[in-house]
Amino acid sequence: MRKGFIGPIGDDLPSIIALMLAMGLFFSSVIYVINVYNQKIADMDMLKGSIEIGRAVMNKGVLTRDDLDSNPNANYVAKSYSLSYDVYLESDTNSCSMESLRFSYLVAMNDAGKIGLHTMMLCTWKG
Amino acid sequence: MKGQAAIMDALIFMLVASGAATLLLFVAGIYSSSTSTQINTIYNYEYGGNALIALHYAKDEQGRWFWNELEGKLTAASQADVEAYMNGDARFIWQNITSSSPAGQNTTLCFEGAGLGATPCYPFNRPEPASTTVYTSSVKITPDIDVIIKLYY
Repeated sequence: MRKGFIGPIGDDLPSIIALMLAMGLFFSSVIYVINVYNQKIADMDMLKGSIEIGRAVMNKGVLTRDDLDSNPNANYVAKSYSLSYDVYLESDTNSCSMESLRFSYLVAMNDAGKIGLHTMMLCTWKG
Repeated sequence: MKGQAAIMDALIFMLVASGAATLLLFVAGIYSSSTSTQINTIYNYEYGGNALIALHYAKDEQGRWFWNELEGKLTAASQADVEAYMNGDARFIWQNITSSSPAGQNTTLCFEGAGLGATPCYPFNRPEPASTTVYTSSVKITPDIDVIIKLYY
């Protein structure tokens, strides 16, 4: 046996370790980037869906309580983006949950024949 | 010597793989940031447009139409009268605007084409916010007067 020879793999061991490290680094960054990419796409979809829900709710110009309670157009948009949403006036006692996105709008509300200005909050969340 | 060459090749491969991984992480970091900014821009413009539509239906504390009163004061009266009106009978309208605005207190109402000089903005005595991003929406309340809502970030 030659002096210092530690087998056919032993000689290549240092370079194999370096190769493994390089491949590990590369593939772990690929996996991380795929996860980040999917998360960002989901966040963008949520943001875009929220804006479209807001547009559907605000479409009528002057809103009524019924529009806040149930709005078929907004329901349809929310379903197509797999989102849930809630709309309420700031003067109400409702509040958005911590994980939801929040958007505010200035709206004209017809409350029993009397039109007034209100701040409307739109909360959206996944699911 | 052969073993040293193999190690050198592996180290070069490691360098290339690290470069590729860094590039991937860099792209992942900046990916979608401009799209999210654009979506936020859309929201701000929609807020401004919807706010101006809602103001079409706004009445002051005396039950007078907000635009009509403002139009009268902008064409005939002085800046002080407009300010007095905005701080008086139309105070709650302004409070509604700032409380609902995504820019909060950094929201202004500007009047273009009015007899008040070069595009005054309410609140009149407040200096224009030093912001790099400004979103504006406008509406004509008469053929000669535009009201512009500005959101400063």
